[in-house]
Amino acid sequence: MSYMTALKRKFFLRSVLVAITLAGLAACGGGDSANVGIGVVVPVQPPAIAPLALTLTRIGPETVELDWSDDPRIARFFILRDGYALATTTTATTLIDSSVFINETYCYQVQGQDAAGYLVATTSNGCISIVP
Amino acid sequence: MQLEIGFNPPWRMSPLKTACCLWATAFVFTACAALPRTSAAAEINLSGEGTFKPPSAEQLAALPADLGFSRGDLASGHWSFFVRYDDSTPGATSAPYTGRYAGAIRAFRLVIGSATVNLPVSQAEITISDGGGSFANRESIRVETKAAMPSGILRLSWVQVNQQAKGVDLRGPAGLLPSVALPPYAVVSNLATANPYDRFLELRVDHPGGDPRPLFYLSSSQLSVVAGPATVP
Repeated sequence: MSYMTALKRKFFLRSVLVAITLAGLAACGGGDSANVGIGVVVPVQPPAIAPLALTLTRIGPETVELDWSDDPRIARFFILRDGYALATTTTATTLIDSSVFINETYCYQVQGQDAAGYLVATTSNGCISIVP
Repeated sequence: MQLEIGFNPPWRMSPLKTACCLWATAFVFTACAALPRTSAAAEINLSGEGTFKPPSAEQLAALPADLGFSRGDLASGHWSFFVRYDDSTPGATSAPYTGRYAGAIRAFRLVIGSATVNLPVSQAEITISDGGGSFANRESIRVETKAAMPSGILRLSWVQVNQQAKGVDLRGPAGLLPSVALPPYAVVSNLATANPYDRFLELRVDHPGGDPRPLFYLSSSQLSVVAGPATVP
């Protein structure tokens, strides 16, 4: 180190300190970001959420049929009624709900997930009133 | 000063003038009679058309034979309805916040596929609910007719329900219907419901015995409905 001047030595030591600090920060993780190398952060974009079309049809006094559109990325559909899980399907894009009652209103939403479990498509919330 | 307006009675006019006068009078009366009576007409034409999901094979198998339409008509997935009603018909309040307009409907027609069914109007009525029937959070317009058939009771209804969350009081001026009076025809055709699926055309055939499960049921909210004054030539 004798060939270094005092200024160069100071700069070198500070660089080493900065590198160690960055490496420590990178080792702590960065949420949804992937860490490649030391101090290089590449953000991972979640998959875009596509809209699905939902149709509700009353096919009986106390029966509602749901039909929704498909998306090639979807591996599973989750059907929610009033915010709670009602059913899961893999390929079917229709569901008959016979557990509805007169004088109640039910709101349905269908969500599609890809094979990795990411939400990739969803319908809007469709509501139907079961009037006598 | 006295103003005198000359007037010659017809018997003192020349035959030519008398003939002209009579012709002019006849022409005016004929023209009046031939004009469409739109201004004084209280009759409204209400019509809608749209699609439905064809019933399942199981439903078709249960279809009675005397309904006036066939399985092929139902397979078309297309239907329409036409109603002519008199919007000056006085209503009757059978229950609080509920108005019934029996006798207002002059014609009720259903077309499914290529079959046209003219339904009787003796049991037809328009029901307006302004938060009635123990549901203060619900307003509705129901245009409905019933027909007794050998296989059961056929009921066709154009139903629109504006339902808000429980606890919301739509009675009176609140909401879309200010009272149980028959609303303007534009509202009878298109009530701005909270949910698009709460405007639907419903056809059901019930057992004559009163079994709650219908023999046949068909419903669709995929309809375009219009209304306007009827023009009687």
